[in-house]
Amino acid sequence: MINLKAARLSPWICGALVAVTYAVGLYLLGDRPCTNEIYSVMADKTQAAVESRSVSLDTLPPWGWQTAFVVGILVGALLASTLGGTWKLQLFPEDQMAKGAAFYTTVGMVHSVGGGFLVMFGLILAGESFLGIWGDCMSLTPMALFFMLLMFVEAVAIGTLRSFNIKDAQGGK
Amino acid sequence: MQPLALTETPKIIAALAVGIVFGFLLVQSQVAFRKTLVDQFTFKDNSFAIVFLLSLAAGVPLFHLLGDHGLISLQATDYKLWCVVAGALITGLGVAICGHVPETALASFASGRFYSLWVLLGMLAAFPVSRWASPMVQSYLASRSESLPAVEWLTGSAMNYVIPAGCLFVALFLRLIQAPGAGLGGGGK
Repeated sequence: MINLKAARLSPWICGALVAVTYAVGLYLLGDRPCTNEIYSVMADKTQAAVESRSVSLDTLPPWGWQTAFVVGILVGALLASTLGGTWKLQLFPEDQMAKGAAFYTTVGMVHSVGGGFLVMFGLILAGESFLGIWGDCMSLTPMALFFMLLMFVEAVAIGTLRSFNIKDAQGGK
Repeated sequence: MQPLALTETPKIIAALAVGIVFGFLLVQSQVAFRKTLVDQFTFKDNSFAIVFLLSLAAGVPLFHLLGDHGLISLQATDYKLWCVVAGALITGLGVAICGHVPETALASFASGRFYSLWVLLGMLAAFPVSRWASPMVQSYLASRSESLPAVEWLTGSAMNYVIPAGCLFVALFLRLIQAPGAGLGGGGK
């Protein structure tokens, strides 16, 4: 009998399956699977709900294929985490909780909101969703490959600097 | 042959199915979790890079093959150089701070990491701001972006084998330099 909790796909297989899934998505949908447009609609609906101070069915995004794609990601992740035994209720990231409640209820939240804002703003500026750029990389679009490389190099530089700061704060341990 | 390009209800069902597979793969590969991306940027856990490189290794020949037979048609976005540079730098900063991209934030939220909601809210907040700022910034950057000549050597048929081989080599190297045990388990992420 298959032990679902122990069953885990390696990143190697997952990488190949991502490419196959993307290609199947392109074939079936005739369009690149992405989330930016539905996020945009959700932002509009949220803004309208806040301005009118009321929540109704009209404030929900329209049920189109892009909404279905987002719902699919949620369902797929829920399935994988519950079947794999990795579903865990966490209100704050573990690395931020180690710094104390004063950090994760203030600075930690600002980091999360600010980071999310920058990610999406950067993608809007570049003119494509993250999955869209990923797909363009698979079709060897030079600009998409350049985007990924530049983003990765910068994130590695920042991540390395932050890890040095953490080590210094811990007394070089 | 041409893409199936479903419409109406079948398209919605297909998108739902593709989304489910994507969400499943994001969690199974642990790319959905914040710690995986944060650890990637210090090379403690190279799962994200391996997933990305392997998707290129498999995707480049697959897209080439399917494209040749007309089964998929991926119209490349009209990227502008300085928009891409600015966008990549801003996105890289954001990813380093919050440890998520839009799709992983969704998958992370669904797997119980409710703190990803703050990241998602930040992403939603970017749209009203971008509607005001992005056209100005984009038009300014686009006006300074010269159209680049086509990179013919990159689209040559040999690259359909050279790039996957290179990606496999780099992925193998990243796996070798990864600390033993990193990237496995993941229950604590």
